[in-house]
Amino acid sequence: MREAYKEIMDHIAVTDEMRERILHNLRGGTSSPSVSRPRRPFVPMLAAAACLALLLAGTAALPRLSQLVQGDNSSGVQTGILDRREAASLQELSQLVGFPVEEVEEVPFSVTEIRYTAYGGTMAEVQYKGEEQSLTFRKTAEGGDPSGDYTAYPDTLVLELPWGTVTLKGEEGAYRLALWQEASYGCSLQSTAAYPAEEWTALLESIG
Amino acid sequence: MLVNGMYDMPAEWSGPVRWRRALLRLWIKAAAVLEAAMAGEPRKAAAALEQEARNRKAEVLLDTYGNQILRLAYSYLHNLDDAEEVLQDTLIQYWNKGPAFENKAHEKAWLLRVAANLSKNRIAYNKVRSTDELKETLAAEQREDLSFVWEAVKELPVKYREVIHLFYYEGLSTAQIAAVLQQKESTVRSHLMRGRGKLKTILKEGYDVEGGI
Repeated sequence: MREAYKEIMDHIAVTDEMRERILHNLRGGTSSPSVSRPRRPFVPMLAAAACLALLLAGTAALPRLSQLVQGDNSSGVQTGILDRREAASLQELSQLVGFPVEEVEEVPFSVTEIRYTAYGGTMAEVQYKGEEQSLTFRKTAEGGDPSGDYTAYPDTLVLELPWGTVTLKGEEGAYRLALWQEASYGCSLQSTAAYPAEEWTALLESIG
Repeated sequence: MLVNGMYDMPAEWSGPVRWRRALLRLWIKAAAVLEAAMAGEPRKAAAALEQEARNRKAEVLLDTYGNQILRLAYSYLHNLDDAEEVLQDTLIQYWNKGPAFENKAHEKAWLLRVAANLSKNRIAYNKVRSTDELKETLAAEQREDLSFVWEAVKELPVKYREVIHLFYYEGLSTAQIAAVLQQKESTVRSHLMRGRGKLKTILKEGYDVEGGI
């Protein structure tokens, strides 16, 4: 089998014409039209813009945070100065935030712990923890990007899935963050491990 | 010295035509860099030198790893134009990221990983052409035996196909495959075992797919 496969693959080779074509394109700075590449010189600017946005958001949010009250208005366990409540199940989490929250059904690693958390009564978080990695799903009623991930990823890829458009962010063709809108809700799925788009597609299609 | 707008080549540089041509090309490039520097354009000269170094590196990469990257991409995409674009994009990634490598094995693993990810992205993005040149070539050569194997491999899911290629063609160990694909070694072993099992079923024991993981 190994020899047959090698013999098959030996039919595929870089021809002189292909070599010249690729070198010509590389010398001319031509890149494949099918792959979108962000222009790297803007990465520092994006990082600076992200820092500025964070600063402005923090300035705007501080007065609100100081007004948050530690109340006990549900069965959830409240922790910290932020209105952060842990729930025991997905159903309880949905009740805390007041909108339906979905689960990732095909997590690509062995899950040792699942944590359900409601933030401020407007954002739901489901975190899947494994021995070496974790996956965090967030959904907010306020729309926008709820991930809290301000990394200026150099690569982005837009996936067209049956239920909507998802933006993947990462580098070297492997992605760590997915962002999308579901009606008026903003959703994010963040992974500590980087996956290619194919695996992200399977992951995203398993949310339900 | 500058003669008619070009730097004259030293007279002692004589020899076989091939060497003379190579030296002439080098001399012209060096003269262009020198001329740019003398014209008060050090940045332009540095850029020209950098570009020349990149061109040489691209040639070395293409000659060293071109076939391996192209074949890996083809194993995912089954189309030569798509595989060629992945090969080119992989070199562009190398170009843009400028990673530092500990050794040649590390460099090769990085290139294969990028090519694999770019190929899988194309599949996910449904950007794959349908023509399978390899299938046509094998048919033209009347190699029914190889056509049979190729069609069987093509039927495998991507996650099995990629480890089959890296194991059978590249001869990588499961640990090395895990490093290339950024998966756990146990996952690679599982995919390899299941992939070979499926191949065996498809080929109906027509070929030996045993041989120790």
